[in-house]
This record gives sequence, structure tokens and C-alpha cells, in this order.
Amino acid sequence: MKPFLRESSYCQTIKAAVLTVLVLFPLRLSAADGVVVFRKSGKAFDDVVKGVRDELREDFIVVEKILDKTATLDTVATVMDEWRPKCVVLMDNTIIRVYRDYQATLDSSTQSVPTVSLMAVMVSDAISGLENASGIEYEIPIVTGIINLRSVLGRPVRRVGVVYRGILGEFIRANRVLCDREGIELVTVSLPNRSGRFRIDVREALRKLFERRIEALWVPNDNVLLRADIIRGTWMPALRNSKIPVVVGVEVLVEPRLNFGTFAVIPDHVALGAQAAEMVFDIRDNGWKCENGRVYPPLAIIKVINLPHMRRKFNVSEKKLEEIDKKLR
Amino acid sequence: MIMNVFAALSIIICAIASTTCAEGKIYVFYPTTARPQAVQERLQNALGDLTVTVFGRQGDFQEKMNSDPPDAIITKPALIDGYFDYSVALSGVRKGTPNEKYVLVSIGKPLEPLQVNGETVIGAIDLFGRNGMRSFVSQFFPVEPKIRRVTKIEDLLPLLSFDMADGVIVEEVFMDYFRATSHMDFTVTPLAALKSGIVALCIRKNGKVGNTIEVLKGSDRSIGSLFEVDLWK
Repeated sequence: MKPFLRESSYCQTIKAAVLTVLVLFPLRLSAADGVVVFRKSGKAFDDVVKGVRDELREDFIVVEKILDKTATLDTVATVMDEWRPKCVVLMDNTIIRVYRDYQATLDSSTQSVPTVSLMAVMVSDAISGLENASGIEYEIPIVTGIINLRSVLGRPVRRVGVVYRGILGEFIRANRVLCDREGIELVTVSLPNRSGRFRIDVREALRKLFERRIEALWVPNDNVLLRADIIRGTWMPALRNSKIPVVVGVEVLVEPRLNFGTFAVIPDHVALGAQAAEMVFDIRDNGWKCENGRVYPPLAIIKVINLPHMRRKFNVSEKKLEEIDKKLR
Repeated sequence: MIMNVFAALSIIICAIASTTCAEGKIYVFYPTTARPQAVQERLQNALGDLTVTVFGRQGDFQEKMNSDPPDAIITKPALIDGYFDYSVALSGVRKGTPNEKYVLVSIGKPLEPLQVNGETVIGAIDLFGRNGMRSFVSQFFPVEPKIRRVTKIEDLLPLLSFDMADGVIVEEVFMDYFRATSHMDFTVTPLAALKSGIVALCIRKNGKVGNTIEVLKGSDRSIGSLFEVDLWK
């Protein structure tokens, strides 16, 4: 009997230890604050999450939920009820919209869980109506693109042409101020939001800009003005023999075979995630409150150039090319 | 059957080749205006058989140091403090000193270190991670300011132009890049001198580094220029 008794006491000890662990383990989990990331699938989102996780992993439990088009406010509510996060990171316009619907269902007398929104078009507009909300714009300010272009070219760029639709009016106004600080004048032509003849409108606008002796052209990421037929039928013929650098916001437009963009500035997604994580720390230090509606520009960019274009037209030095992340040949 | 024999032989030959040709590996983490891949290309060409990996982010460098330590590192000496297997073999020297000079850059009016308080936002390149940067930046000021970390030298500029920081700390040598890139009205305030090295080659005990020391000390200035140093000693 003695061995059995001894074994039994071992069992009891083990049981006690297991119970202790079971009691302590949840305590340890709950000791760290949770951050839920709602995002779409895709490489760009993966990179942003890497940036978020790398920064937050020592201080927070980061829970990632990939939502598809079918996600509803119930999907969000289930995750929020399960994890009860201290802060939420929202990526993509659809997800921000669904989260806003979810927030509207909550008791308005309690403080809303703070949010950091990013990876969405016009984040400032997207988060309006959300409480305790902040974010990072996806659109890179014009001034960032132009001062980097100026640095690579090693020559002044004082007058920058922009063709834009009215919908971007506020963005252009804000960028005028930032460009002014750098001695850059924006020479603009505004187009209506809707038109049945954008191919002609863009051609006319570019003609006006060239007449006004611009030294560079900045092309907004506007999927209406950058429709395939307008790129082929208007932008490319107009820019073919131009001697000015063209700054774009998507890598595909600096592909040498397109003969369109010279220099692209695109967001550095890992750094964007790190920037969002930094905001989470700030929100924590501020008692889980955001400066409501505050949206920051993205800080880090990736520079891509059309190398043959850059060499042929602008004679850029090899030393300057070392500042470029990606050279398309 | 013959194919299997060929396959087995190929594997054996590859295994032998990888053990005899590998001269060791070297990691580099030194934020500068040149891109990591450009630095890597130039160093790899100069260092031949060594495998050179250049990191652009402190977190990636730290992670790789822990999971797969190299034979040697080129980085800020302060970054190898916790790695007891490594010792400094060479130090980069700039204008006669091996110590880095840091400045505080603001726009318009000067930002004096003594004016900095707990609400002041200071931007800096992330050399040491979140906690490490808190200690590093605090050395210069009476109290710990709020810190904004960025990965690249150029990312310090938008912190200033978008009013996201009151000032940024940067190595004095990068002021030329700032002035060449931006037309903002920079005010530069020198910070207290630290006994903090510019850059060092640190070698692990019994690390295979081939001719790295000779290459760095040699007459090829283009390698020194990657780290903005005049010589190595």
C-alpha cells in the first residue's frame, strides 16, 4: 500500500501543480493588454502586421483576425467579446466601415476602445464618425516625393505640376502648405469628379501644365485618371518626349517598358506597421484615449526608379542611385 | 539507378563544397543614407568569400544575431555590449576621433537640451529598440522626452516637416544630407559628447573573417565612405 500511497501523494502534488499553473497561466495572459488587428489578406497587409507585431510583442498580446468581404458587425462583435482588447488596429476601408457599425451598437456612456486605422483610402474621411479614433494616411504627401526626387536628381525642382479631380481638393490644399515650406510651388489643374471625356480633359490639362513651365509632374493615385485607356491614350503619348521627371505612387507605373513614370514613392509597409504600433504605445500612455480624429502622414517610403529613364534623361550619379530601394531595368 | 547515383554524388559534392568554401559570415547594421542592398553589394564585392548580410532594421538585426550569430559584425560598438563572444577588432575614425558626434536639429528656433521636458517629442533612428532608445536619448536631456523612432535617416525629415517632432537627434555627419535634401530652416544644436563609437568591426572568438581586417584597413576608401569614416584602426 505504501508505494500506492506515495504514488497517490505524487499525483496530488502534480494535480496541485497543474491547478496552480492553470490558475496562474490565465492571470499571466490577462496581465498583458490585448491589441486586436482586423485586416484583409495579402502581402502588403502581412508586412504591416509584421511591423505591428515586432514592436508590440514584448508589451501586448497581439491578436490578428483576417476578415473577408462577408465580414459583418457580428463577426467583429464576436472577436471583441472574446478578446476584450485595449486597442484595435483597423486596416482597409471596408473593415473600418464594419467596425463603425459595430461601435454604433455599443453603449455610448462607456469609453470606446481606441482605434488606429491605416491601409485605407483617405483615412481622415474613413474614420469620421468613429469615436476615440486615430490613423495614418496611406497617401504619401507630394512634398515627400518631390524632395526625394530633388535629392536624387541633385538639382532644384521648384514648380511641380499636378492634374487632379476635385475629390482630391483638400489633399492638394494641405500639400500646398507643406510644399511651400520646401520652396516648391504646386501648379495645378483641377478636373471635375465626373466626366465622359477624361482622355481629352487630361490631355488638355497636361498641355496647360507644360505651357506653365513645370519642372516635374506629380501624378495622383486616382484610379479614374489612371484608367488603362487613359494611360495608353493620353498620359503615355503626352509624356513620351517630355524632358521632365514624372513622380508616381505605384511601382507598376515606373516599369521601363511603359515609358511613363520616372520615380515612384510608395509606402514602406513594415515601417507603416511600426508607426501604428508607436501610436498604440502613445494611446496607452494617454489612458487609452486617442487625440480623436488625428491622422498622421506615413513617415517611411520606398523609392523605386525607372533606371533607363533616369540615366538617359537625367544623368543621375551612381552615388545617388545608392539611395534608391529598387531600380527597375 | 544511374540518376540516383548522380543525385547522391551531387549532394555529397555540394556538402563538401559548402564546408570548404564557406569563409564565415558577417552582419552589418549601420543606418546610413545608402540602401542596405547597395551597402551589401559593395561590401560583398570587397570581402569575397565571406557572406555579407546588411540589415536595415534594428529588430531584424537583433533577431538574426540571436538565432544565427555570425563570425563578425560591423555596427555601432554600443550594439555589441551584450554579446560577450565578440570583441572590437577595428574602430572607424572620422576627423581624428573614433567617437560619434550627435546634434539636435529643430526647425526655426533652436531647441536647447535643457529646454527638453517630458512632453517634448524627439525623433531618432532606431538603433537599440524601444527600451534601448529610451536610455540612449535620455543621456542628452535632463528628463526623458517622448521618442519617435524611425528606420532610415531620411525618415527624420518628415518628422520635422509634418510637425510630428520638436527636434530630431542625428549624427552630425548626416547634416550635409539634410541640407542637400531639404530647404527647411534647420537649427543645429550640438549635443554633449558621448564616449560612443562611430562604427566597429567586432569579431567572434575563433570567427572566420578572411581578409576583412586587411580590406577595411586598406587603401580602398570607398568601403570607409559607406560608414562615413576616414580610416579604420
